Amino acid sequence: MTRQPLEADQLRRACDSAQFGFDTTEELEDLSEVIGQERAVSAVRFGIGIQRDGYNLFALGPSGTGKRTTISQFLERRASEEPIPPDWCYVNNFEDNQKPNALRLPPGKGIELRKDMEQLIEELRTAIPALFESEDYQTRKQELQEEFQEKQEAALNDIQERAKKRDIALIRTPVGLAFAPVEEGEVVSPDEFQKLSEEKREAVKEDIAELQEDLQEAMRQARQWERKTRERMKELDREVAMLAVGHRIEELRETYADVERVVEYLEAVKDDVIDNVDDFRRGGSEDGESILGIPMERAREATFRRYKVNVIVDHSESEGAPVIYEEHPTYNNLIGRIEHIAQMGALVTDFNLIRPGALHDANGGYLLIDARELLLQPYAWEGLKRVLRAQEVRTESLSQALSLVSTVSLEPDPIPLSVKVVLIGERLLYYLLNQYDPDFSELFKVEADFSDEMPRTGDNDQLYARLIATIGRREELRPFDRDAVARVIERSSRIAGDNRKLSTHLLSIADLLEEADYWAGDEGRDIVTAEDVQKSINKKIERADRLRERTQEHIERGMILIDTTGEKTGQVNGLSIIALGDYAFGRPNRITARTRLGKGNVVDIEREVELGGPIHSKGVLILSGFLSARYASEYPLSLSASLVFEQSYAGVEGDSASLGELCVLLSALADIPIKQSLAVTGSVNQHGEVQPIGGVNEKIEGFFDACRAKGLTGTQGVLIPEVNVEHLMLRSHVIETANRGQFHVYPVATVDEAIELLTGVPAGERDEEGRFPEGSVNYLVEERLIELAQKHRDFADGMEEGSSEREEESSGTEE
Amino acid sequence: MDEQEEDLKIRRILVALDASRHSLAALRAAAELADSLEAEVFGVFVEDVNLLHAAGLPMARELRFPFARHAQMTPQRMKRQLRAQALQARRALSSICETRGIEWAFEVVRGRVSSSLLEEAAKADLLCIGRASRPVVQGPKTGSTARAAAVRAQRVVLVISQGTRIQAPVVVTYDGSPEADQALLLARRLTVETGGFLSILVPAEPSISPEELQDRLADNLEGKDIVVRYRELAGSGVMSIIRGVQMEGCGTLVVSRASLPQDEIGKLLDGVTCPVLLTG
Repeated sequence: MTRQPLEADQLRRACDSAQFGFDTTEELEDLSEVIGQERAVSAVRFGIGIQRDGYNLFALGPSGTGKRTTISQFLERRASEEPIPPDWCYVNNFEDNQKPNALRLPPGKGIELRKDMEQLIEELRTAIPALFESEDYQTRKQELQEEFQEKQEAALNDIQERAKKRDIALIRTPVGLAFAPVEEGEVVSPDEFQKLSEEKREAVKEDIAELQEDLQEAMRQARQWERKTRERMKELDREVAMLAVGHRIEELRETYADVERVVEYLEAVKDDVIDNVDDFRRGGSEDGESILGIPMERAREATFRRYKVNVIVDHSESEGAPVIYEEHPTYNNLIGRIEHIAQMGALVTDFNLIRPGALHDANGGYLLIDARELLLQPYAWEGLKRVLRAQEVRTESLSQALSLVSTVSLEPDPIPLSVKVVLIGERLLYYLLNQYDPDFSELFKVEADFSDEMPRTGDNDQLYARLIATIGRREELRPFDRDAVARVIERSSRIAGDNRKLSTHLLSIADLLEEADYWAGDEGRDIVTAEDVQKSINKKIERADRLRERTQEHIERGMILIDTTGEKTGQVNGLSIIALGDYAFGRPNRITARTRLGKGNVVDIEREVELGGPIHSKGVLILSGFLSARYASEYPLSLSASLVFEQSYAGVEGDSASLGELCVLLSALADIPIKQSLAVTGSVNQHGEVQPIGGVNEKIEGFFDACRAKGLTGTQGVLIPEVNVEHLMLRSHVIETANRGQFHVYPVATVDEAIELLTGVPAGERDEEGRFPEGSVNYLVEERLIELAQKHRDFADGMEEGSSEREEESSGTEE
Repeated sequence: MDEQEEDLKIRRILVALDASRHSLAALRAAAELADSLEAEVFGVFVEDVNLLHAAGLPMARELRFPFARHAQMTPQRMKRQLRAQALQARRALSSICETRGIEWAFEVVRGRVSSSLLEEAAKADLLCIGRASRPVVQGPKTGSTARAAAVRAQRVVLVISQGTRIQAPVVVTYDGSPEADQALLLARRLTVETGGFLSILVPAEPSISPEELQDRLADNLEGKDIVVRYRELAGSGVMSIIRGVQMEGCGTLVVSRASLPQDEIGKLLDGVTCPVLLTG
């Protein structure tokens, strides 16, 4: 029995606005949770809740499905109830300043410690010079110096006196001291010395030798005294410094008594200040004074940098645990970096130049990263994995991490890490990482799979209305009336490509709402109506459909050969989809078939010229299977057929044309013309069953547009797989035309139903004797195939006889 | 420039150089004075004949710094060392004078240091000398050469220590004698140059009556745009001058040689740390 066309109401599942109990979305409450993502939400709840190693999340799904918004909402709600994590600071390690120490402080205390240390150093810079300039200190220092000088002088005076008594003087030479005999205050010249008696000369020599020994001893002694004096003066300096720094440090120790490492740090600061008290003693320098080109003041400030506190994580204004979204997840932006400053032509660094990364900021909370962005940044993914495995952040430059340089740099204390990382990305990335990175499944154990559609039920329609209200309020849009909401829901189904589903691609929906709001404003309306929603849909299509329009124009002008009336054998209207970005449209394609005697193969010309994809080729090969099984199970399929997508110059992929190809092949075999007023789409299996295809709406609309352009006759229509009826969400123009009986959509479940509709000739079923009714399509096909098989056999026999004769002739010749 | 100042005209400044830090202070002071007085600087380095003699003795050995090791002294080595010191002194002189654009000359003489310097000083208007050469013991004491120059040179002598310079306030002792007038004249000139006030120390028993002394001071300072402070000393000896200098926070002391007994000059030099200018 020939299939009847669908009723107009089957062509689109309209949304009844009467089901809504509101006038505009202004009356609706905001959604507190995301809709249609139960699986993902449950996974996110689990992932956030479980506090075990490796339970980081990967939120996967198409972009625009609200992954980031959903996760952010969840995290922010949960983080606000969690404790504020500690502050972290880097301070100088006075034992090894290449390895700065990390200090963990209660939230908000980092800034306090920094201020306290700044104040301490500021005070010491005033207090220490004051103490060293005090009379007490100067007197004690003078006392020590004089004591030393007195001792030294006494020793030398003693030697000088003893020398003098023997007429010998202690004289200063350019490089030392020497003794020489004197007469009337002047050194005896060598000539005069020679004039002295032998005895006298020897006596002088002995005296001088003795004095030299004494002098040597005195100088050795003086050096010891000097060293001791220096030590005593240093001790005095330490005492004075201690006086200045001791009680101040003690006060700070009390303030930070409950943070052991800070107390240790303060103790180290005290010792360092005492050891380097000279740095504090120097007062301000005159303008322009410099050392090796560095202004003195700047050089001095540089020495005090070691007492600074570099607060890298500050939670003084935080409420709850941090939720950080890192927009630009480079290696440095995640791990932190060590900056350098130029000094005297060299790049130098210290702990003050350690800068935190997103992992520091998110420590104790949550870090969201776009997976694609992360993977695009060199070494960022490896760096993140290393940190998650080690559970500590070790800030080092990339060149250090890769051992590219071996110059001295900093090795800061690693900071223990407790962070939940949430990667957001497309499904493909998730599956690729899962497949190719063995660490991935260990570190990201929770997958939150965001769906791009949800069931379209009455309840969900109501939730969808609230979603529209929520987005509208968030984006400050005009309220939507109930018809507008209904139209949005219908559009959502169309985006989902299924009249039983709603799209959860919130980005598309938000765009639609914003554009509808714009058009409502353009019309001067305070409320967005269905008309505005429709206009925004139309305008969006209009902006993108240059190519569709051009294609239709070519069909109308006969440049693309498409018949929408009449009948032709071996020619059928197929339908294809052209996708351009997020816009897709359908267009009819003429498919033709030619048959002749052959070896049973169906030639797919698209495949022969490499314009057909593998799925398309598969569809065509299935046709041979169908033909063999249905018609040629007991004799060879002696057919050679060629199939072609006429005027197709780009690639063809998909098997949605296989039903059309089979029908055109049957038409060619049976020599029965096909109605050109119909187009067909659907895939077919070896049993002749029609299977669903994608883009059914676009395809129907594509043929509709072609028919409308060439003139509607009332006989035109499209054959679609029965299963695809659920996907129908055709545009209103098609519905209206169908309603007037000017255009028809026929659901078909088998190839027989399709060929009947296309030819108007019954397909025919085998009777009890296994024969098709005479005149039916199947009968004619089978007859033709038997005929071809017979011809093939005759041809083969003829060939055989010819061959025997030739053999006989040749053996006769031989004889 | 009045008549008195013309008498005080200083055109040639001799600086005794021995490469010690005190002598470098003397060099700096000489250059500053030469700059302001538009004078020339002559540097003289005396190769001490005593050192050469000592080096020529058969038992000549020296204890060398800084390790107090004994080493043989020879005349050749001593000459080399002295030449090196002279070269160092010459470099210092040329550097400082050329920076300031002062005319300069340098001479090496051999002899006994004090007498050679006094001989050279006779050819100059002002002798600048470091407080001590390179003393065996570090201390405030004035060396024998500086002491001899201060006492015996018939010229203005500046005795200066390392770390000091001619600066305000200038302090001058004034007892009304004609020599004191010379000292006051020089002090007045230095006060103008250094830009501070002039402090005049008047001994408890000046050689003239207080009224006369006031009149002479008024005559000397009339029309000069300088701030003057007077301090009457408790006595007239060196110690009262030293105390007065300390109380005034003296920058530079100008004193007439004639106003002090010769054996007191050394005590004065030992008692103050600021530069001391001794006039005739």
